[in-house]
Amino acid sequence: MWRYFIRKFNLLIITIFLLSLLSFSLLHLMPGAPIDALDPDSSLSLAEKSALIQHYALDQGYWSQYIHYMGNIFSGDWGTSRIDQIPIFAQMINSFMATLQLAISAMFVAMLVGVPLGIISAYYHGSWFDRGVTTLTLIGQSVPVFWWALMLILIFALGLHWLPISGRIGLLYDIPEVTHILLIDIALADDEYQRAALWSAIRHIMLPTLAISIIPTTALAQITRASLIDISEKNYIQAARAKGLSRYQVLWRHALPNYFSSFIRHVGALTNPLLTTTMVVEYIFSWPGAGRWLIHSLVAQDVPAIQACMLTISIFVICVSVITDLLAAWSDPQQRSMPHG
Amino acid sequence: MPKPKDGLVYCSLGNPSSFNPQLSTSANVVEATSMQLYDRLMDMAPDGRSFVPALATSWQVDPSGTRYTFHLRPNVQFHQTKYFTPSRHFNADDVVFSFRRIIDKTHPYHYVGRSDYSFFVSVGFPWMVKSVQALEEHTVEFELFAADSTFLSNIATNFSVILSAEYAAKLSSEGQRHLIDKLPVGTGPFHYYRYKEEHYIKYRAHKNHWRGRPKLNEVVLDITPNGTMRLAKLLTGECDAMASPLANELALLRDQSDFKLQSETSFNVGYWAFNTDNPPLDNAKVRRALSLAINRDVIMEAVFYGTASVASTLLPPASWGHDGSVAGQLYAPEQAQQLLAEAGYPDGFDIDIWVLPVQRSYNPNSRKMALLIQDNLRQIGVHAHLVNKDWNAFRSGLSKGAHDTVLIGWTADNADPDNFFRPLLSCQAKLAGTNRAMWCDKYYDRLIDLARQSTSFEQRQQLYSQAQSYLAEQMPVVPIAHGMRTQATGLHVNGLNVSPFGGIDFSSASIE
Repeated sequence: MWRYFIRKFNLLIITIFLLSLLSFSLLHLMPGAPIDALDPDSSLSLAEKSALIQHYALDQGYWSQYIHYMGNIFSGDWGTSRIDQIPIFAQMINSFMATLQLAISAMFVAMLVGVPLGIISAYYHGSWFDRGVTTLTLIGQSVPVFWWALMLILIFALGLHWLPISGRIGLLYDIPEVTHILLIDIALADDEYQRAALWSAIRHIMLPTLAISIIPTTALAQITRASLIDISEKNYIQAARAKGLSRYQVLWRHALPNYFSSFIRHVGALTNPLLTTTMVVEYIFSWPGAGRWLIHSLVAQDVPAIQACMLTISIFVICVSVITDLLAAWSDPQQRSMPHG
Repeated sequence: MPKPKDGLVYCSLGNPSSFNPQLSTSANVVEATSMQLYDRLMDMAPDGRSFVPALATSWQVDPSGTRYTFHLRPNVQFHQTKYFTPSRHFNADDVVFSFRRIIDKTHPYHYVGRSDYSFFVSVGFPWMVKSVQALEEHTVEFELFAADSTFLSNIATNFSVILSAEYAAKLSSEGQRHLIDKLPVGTGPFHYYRYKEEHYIKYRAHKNHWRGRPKLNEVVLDITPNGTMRLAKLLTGECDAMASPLANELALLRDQSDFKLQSETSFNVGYWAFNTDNPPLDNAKVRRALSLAINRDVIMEAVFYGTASVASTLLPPASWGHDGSVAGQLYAPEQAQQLLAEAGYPDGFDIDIWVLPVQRSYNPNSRKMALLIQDNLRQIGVHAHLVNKDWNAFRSGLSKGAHDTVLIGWTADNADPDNFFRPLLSCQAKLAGTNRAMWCDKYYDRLIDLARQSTSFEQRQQLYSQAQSYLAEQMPVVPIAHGMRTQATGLHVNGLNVSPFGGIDFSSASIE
């Protein structure tokens, strides 16, 4: 296990190093001099420009610039946004937490719905229910997520007037940001409208969660179903059946535990598509998360913000993937010796 | 769902570039700040013909017409916010500070905010006002270079707001002057509470406002630049009121019984401007011919859906300067062809039409209008090509005069007729880059200059009539429509009225 851990950890460090190089070089890859990329409208005064040059050590060589850049990142000084002069680090935490909240709630829905669907349809393999689930997952996987989002808006917001379509909470609620996780912040807030605020936050998260969760739900249903069918053809399952165990007992005692040992890996592999989907959906629902922020920064050519966003999201995805690998290896010794692991 | 009481969410047009309307003519800034955070010395009455006292209780002009004395309202309190606690009431120093900042280039705050004070420059304010002085604690005197009948109208616009001199001094001493336009302090009915770019602006009631405490405790501007999204938020109840529903969505809103739709004729004009520097558009006959070729009735129906009135001159009928005797343009393609032949173009020619890339109440769908015009022009043998550009390229191209013709418009900042005639067609406006017709005519400039200097109401009216007839003959621009300003609100919102001059005022609004 230790050797495996060290191997994974090395991989993590190297990938993060490469990513930081990429993020650092973004400034130099933009057309024109780096200082023009930081000030595309040439609206800064000379003093402000020289302060920026100081901040990024642009008057020094590439390596010392890079070291300077990494120093800044580690000390939490990620620069200030060109658009609204807010420190990027604070903005990053804020928007990334919002994204994470949405992604986690979508993943939660996916596990709650997708896995049982997959299990039932594997159990009744070949039945009309199974065929129905297979068709639905195919549709869910192939229809673009923004279409789902718009349909949800059309039905639940504009048609039935049940749910709101933008933001995280009604704008009249004033919740101080402490942990940046809205539900916890509401619980901490000492507000006379606490319950109403909580209800408002829940109503706001419902539609975007539904829209995002379609991809991981169908993916999990598909994976679960396929894995279980695959497992049920294995010899030990056949043997258990031959011994006289019922299909239900076989599924419950043998097939499912076997499947769940690799489950965490599947979830880890879904992180990347999940975050990508979340970022698209955020834009549609005006959710103040990293995706919306990234798109605004791209439009405004706010290089430090783009760098920060890229770095944070990619590091997060890699960390999740490494952690899920480690967890999988910890729970299943066989996977440690896998050559590609 | 229970909601915090007495708060209103308004779906607004976009991010304000600043919290000080002195600096910018943008509709976003005016909407977000003017009526909310600030007061003016006086306000324009809704009919646009008289003034209502605000921070000034009364004013006098000396016989020469160059000295205006304002008597200020006592006991007016500035906002108390997290970043500033006022130690004194409003007085003459605040007025002097607010206007010196604009007109005096040596003023320490003049270059803060890096603004060219576009509204004030476009009406010639820095060359109109010689000095502003505090005579007593509550008396201020403005001295003008020459008598100017537009002075009071300019003082009553949304842009002429009063800032706090004490706050400015505090920021100066802290070396934080740039914050004056970001963390605003005024005397208006609401004070700044929170702002998140691209997301929202939160204002709280200014409990000690001199007009009395506003009925709403809180106003939130939900920044929603997309028109369809604004409508959607209104329908789902996320917004209690919304700005400018699109013309083609009005039918949908009319069918809904839970909303009320208010509209108000506005001081604006949508027009088709000819670049008079470019042949053959330098020929007035050609311009008149093109104007005669346009079928306005179809445009009114297809583009405005009944949210506008046909424009016969640049001035809307509600303006006191409007001359009803100037006949509206006819639709007469045969006559147009004849005029073209007289001008030496019997076979027509090619021109381009620049299409306004944004929606405005004076032209909610410029592209459709351009297509209709293109079709009309084809019948008289003129081939029009549509030019689409993004907003910034569009504006800079127009200032340089790169266009042949353009569909654009103007929303007046105040009700004075000068505010239409000068910024749109004067030689001064050609230099400033706001004259889309690139038209510079000595006779016309003389008419509007005389009207401005005159203090006799009848004489001004007569001069503006002459100017309108002259424009109808020269046709540097074809007036097309005066759009209405519309606003949709939920039935539970009361007292929120549409202002003809842009902006919105929440001070008298309430929620049931």
